[in-house]
Amino acid sequence: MGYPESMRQSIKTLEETREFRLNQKIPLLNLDEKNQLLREFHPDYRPGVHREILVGVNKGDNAVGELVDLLEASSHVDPESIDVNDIFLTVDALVIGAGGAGLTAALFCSDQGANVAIATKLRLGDSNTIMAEGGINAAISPGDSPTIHYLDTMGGGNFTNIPELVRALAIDSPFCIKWLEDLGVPFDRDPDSDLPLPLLVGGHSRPRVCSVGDFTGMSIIQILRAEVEKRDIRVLDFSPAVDLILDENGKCAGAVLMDLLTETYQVVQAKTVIIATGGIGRLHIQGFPTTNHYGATADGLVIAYRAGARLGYMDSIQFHPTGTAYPDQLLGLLVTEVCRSRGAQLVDVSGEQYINELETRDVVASANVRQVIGRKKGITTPSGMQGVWLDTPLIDIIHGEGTVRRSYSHIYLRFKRYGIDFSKEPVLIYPAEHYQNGGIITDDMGRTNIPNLYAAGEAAGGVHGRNRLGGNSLSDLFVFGRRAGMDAGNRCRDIHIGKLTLKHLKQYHQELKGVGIENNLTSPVLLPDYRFEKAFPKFQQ
Amino acid sequence: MEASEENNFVPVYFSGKRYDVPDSLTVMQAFEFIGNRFTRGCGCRGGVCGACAAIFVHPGSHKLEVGLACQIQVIPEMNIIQLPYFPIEKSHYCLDDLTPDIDSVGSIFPKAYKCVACNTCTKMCPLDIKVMDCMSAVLRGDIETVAMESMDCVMCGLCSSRCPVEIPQYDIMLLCRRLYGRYVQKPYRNLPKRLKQIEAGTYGEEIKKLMNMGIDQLKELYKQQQDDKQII
Repeated sequence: MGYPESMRQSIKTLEETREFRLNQKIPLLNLDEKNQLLREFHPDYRPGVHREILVGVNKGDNAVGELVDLLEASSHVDPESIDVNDIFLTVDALVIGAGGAGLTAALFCSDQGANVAIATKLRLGDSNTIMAEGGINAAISPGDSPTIHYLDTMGGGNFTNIPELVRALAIDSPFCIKWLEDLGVPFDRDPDSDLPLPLLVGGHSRPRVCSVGDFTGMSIIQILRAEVEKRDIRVLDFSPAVDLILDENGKCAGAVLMDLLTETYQVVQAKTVIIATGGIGRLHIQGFPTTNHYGATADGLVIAYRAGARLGYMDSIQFHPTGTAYPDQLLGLLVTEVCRSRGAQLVDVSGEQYINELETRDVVASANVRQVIGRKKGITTPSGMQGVWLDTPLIDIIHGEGTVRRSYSHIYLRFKRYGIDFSKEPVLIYPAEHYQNGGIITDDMGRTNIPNLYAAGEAAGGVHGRNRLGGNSLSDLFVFGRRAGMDAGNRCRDIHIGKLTLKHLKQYHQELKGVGIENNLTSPVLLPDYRFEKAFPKFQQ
Repeated sequence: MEASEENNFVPVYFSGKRYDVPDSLTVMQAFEFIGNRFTRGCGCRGGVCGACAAIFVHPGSHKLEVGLACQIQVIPEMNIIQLPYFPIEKSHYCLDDLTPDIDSVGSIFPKAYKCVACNTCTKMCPLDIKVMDCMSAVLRGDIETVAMESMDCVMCGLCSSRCPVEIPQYDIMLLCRRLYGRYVQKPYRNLPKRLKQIEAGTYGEEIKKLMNMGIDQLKELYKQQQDDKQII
């Protein structure tokens, strides 16, 4: 298949400017220039994409409309018709979600001697973590330090991050690397120094990304899954939580699960509950394609909110600058940022480079939107999608023949199936929804405002502020999965559960009714709907 | 891509039943186009989770072919099923107790010795991993080769599904990658020292200073740090 003739023409233009661009260095923008670019072209700033939340803890705050719809929807569970005292399973800790944060929390919680169950919507390990390509940040090199990591992260988030959380992230990440190393994660290393590869990722001032090829998350998840399976941890797969259960004192005390195969409800009573349900990409914010897993439908945010948990930054979405724009079959899939770390440049239809590729993701994504929409310098595919080139052949030119094949074996194979050799030809990219910057607000131990309810990973918010740096999501989920798991495991010995209740659902629905909201939706969404005409991927520019 | 008259519909056979689907779709999208909402058989939709492994034949061919349903495009007349789960006996080992050699691997997976070198596993791999070569390397105790050659493995289980002697190849290869990561590779240099520095509280103090700093001063420091990007 490969590229059609119309796109080949544009590749010729790109090749003609390549030699010039090899020595071109575009300076970094200053903070004012950055902010202006964001205001003009970042999708978060488009009019009408946010709505006010009218009920609950965050009443009066703005959030992405797609989430507000779900916060205004009805529960699957009818609190009148379910008996919460008909208990299916009682545990010390219930972890909801089985991605990086969930598996980590479960393992550390079980280390404390707690009796742990994991409930997850799909299979054990299914998550955005498994799709993480680039790596996990930790300041372990002699020339780096957690202090430098802290400041890079704060600046990357435009200083809107919650400092206590960033401190935990920067300080704990090296411990997580040690833990993963001991579990046998075969991290890449620079052969000369035995340190992480000497690569800079956008917004980082030192190399600190610990990677395993272009499939870091997959490698780690396979190992954590094996560790969970050998423990005495009860795994309830294909069993998403559809609502939380509180006790009569307002403390979190379990969850109602739905077994997707039998479509029956199961009550799990737990002294502590850890929400690690991940992100929001499959709601297709503003109609954008997403890099996310099939299950990323913000379920944890919805059930936590109905129980009274505070959310934050829910008007802030990360659009990854380099989602795939061609071929249609791969629309939205991530082309890792580390391609740019190795020298791949962003190039428009005129063959011009227009942004320093090591700017933070919000800035690079906005620059890509500006090039396509503002300056009309995009490249159009046969189906009408527009994008810009990521000049990946530069990687082999700079680092030697075979680097692409070796360092990006999964992405290489993905394009090769469609007749594109991305070591020799550029790939067309456009921003795709990648990460929910916000989420459930926690303290630095992962505790939410509801006693005995924790949140960790992408479901939690605050550590990244309004923009996350590449590689910091894996750091985040291991650091806070570990902290939440340990804290929940330690504390559960002293927790006594009162009478279980779902009366918070009744109150929440009454509150919705009180402000005249009835949207005929049911939430959480659980599974995205791509049936019939919806099977055709949609794209929003 | 939109549903329109421009779409070229082709027949495909899902579990033997004919459906007409647009040939521009992936196999996974085609399953959805006919009205299926996945619970099993769909995960990352990006070719890494191994949930959507599929087996198919072309008309008139007896050769089984494989692919990940989310990654491959519909082929006219293909007859296809998914294999979202394949049961193998779960292995339970503690990495701390092992050594990177055939004794360790063989004690956990005695079936590894039964390989008849038929190469079916290699033919079944949707990631083009030379699975049989890995099994030979296991028997030679060459853990590094197994790790290097199997890095791309998504653990879909197709290799094991057709193994005549029921070897759980993908689980053995995972063990080898872990042994490699833990014992064959050198650990990250400076990491033990860094952990000691953190425990001594050095960085906690530094970060506390930044936390107490005025925003303008913090922004200035940040700017200096970004201008001083270094590969060290």
